[in-house]
Amino acid sequence: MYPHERSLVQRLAGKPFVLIGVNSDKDREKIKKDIASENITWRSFWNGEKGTQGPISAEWGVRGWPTMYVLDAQGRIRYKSVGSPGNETLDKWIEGLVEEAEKGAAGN
Amino acid sequence: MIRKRRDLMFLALLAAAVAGVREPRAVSAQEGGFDAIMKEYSKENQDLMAKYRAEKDPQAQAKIRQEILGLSPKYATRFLEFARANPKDPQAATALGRVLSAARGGPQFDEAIELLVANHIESPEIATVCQILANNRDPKAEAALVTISEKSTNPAVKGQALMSIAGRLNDAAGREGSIEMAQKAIAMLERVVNEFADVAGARGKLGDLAKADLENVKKFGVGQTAPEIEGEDIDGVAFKLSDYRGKVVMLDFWGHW
Repeated sequence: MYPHERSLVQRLAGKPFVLIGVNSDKDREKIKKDIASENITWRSFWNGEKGTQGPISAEWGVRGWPTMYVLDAQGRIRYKSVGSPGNETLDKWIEGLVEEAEKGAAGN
Repeated sequence: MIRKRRDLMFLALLAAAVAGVREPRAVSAQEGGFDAIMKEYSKENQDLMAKYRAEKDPQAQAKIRQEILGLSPKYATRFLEFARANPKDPQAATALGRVLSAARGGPQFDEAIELLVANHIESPEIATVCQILANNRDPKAEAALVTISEKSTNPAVKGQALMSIAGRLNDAAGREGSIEMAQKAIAMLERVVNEFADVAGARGKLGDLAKADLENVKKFGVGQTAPEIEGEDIDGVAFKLSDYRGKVVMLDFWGHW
C-alpha cells in the first residue's frame, strides 16, 4: 500500500489534499524508524500504546486494518472502506473530491 | 517477514473455520448423510493442515495451501447434493449455509438460496446464514436477505436478517459515497431496536448490537461531519483533524505489521 500512498501524495502535491494516518502500532520508537525507512512522508496521529485497541480507533468504531475514510474539504465523511477499496477506486474518490474542492474555491 | 505473517494469519483463519465446524454427532452417520460429509471434510482438512505444517519447502507449501482453499468449494457440491436430496431435513439448512459461504455467487449459490427460502425459512439456522450473507457483495445475497426478513416469522431470523441488510447498506454507502444508503441503514437499525431488541443474536442481544451500530452510523456514516480528532503525531507534536479543513482528507487507519 505504501507505494500507492506515496504516489498519491506526490501526484496531488499543491492540490487541496492531505493524507493523514492513524497509526496503530504499539511501539512508538519502532514505528518512528519504520516511517523513516519506508519513506512515509505524511503525518499520522498515534493511536497510543494499546495499538489497535487505542482510543481513536475505538471512538471511530474501527475494527479492521486498514480502514480508510475520505473526507471532503468541508470535513464531511464522503467515503469509507474497510480494507483498501483498490487503487483505482481510491484515486477516483479522491480526485473527484479534489476537483469539487477546487471548483468550490474558484466559485467563492 | 510479511510473508510469514500472512501464512500465520491464514492458519489462524483456517483454525477458526474448523472450530466453527460442528463436531459430528455420536450417532453413526448414514452413508452420504450430512454428518458423514462433515466428518470427511474435517478429516481431509486436518490432514492437509498437518501436511502444511510439516512441509518446509515454500513451493510445496503453497500447493497444499491451494488444496486447503479448494476444500470448501469441493465440499459445497456435496452439501448442495445433500440438501437437494433431503429438502425437509433440518440439517439441510446448515448444509446450505456452508454452500453459501463457499460459493459466494454463481449457480450453486443461486440454487442454495432458492432451496433455503423454499424449505427452511423458519429454521433457526438461517440466522447464521444471514450473518454469512452480510459479508457477501452479490446483489442476490441482498435479495435473499430481504426475502428472509419478509417471509420468516422467527424473530431471531427476521432480526438478524435486518441487521445484516443494515450492515451491507452501511458498507455499500461507504463504497458508493451514498448518503441515501446510509440513511436506509439507519432506518433498518432503528427497526431492530424497536421491534427485535430482546432477541438473542450470536454476539449478544440484537437491540444492544443495533444501538451500537446506530450510534456509529449517526456519527461516522457517510454524510456526517467527521468528529474532531485531537491527538499527537508520532513525534509527540499535538495536532487536530480540523487543522486540515479546506482540504480533502484521506484518513487512513494503518499499522506497519
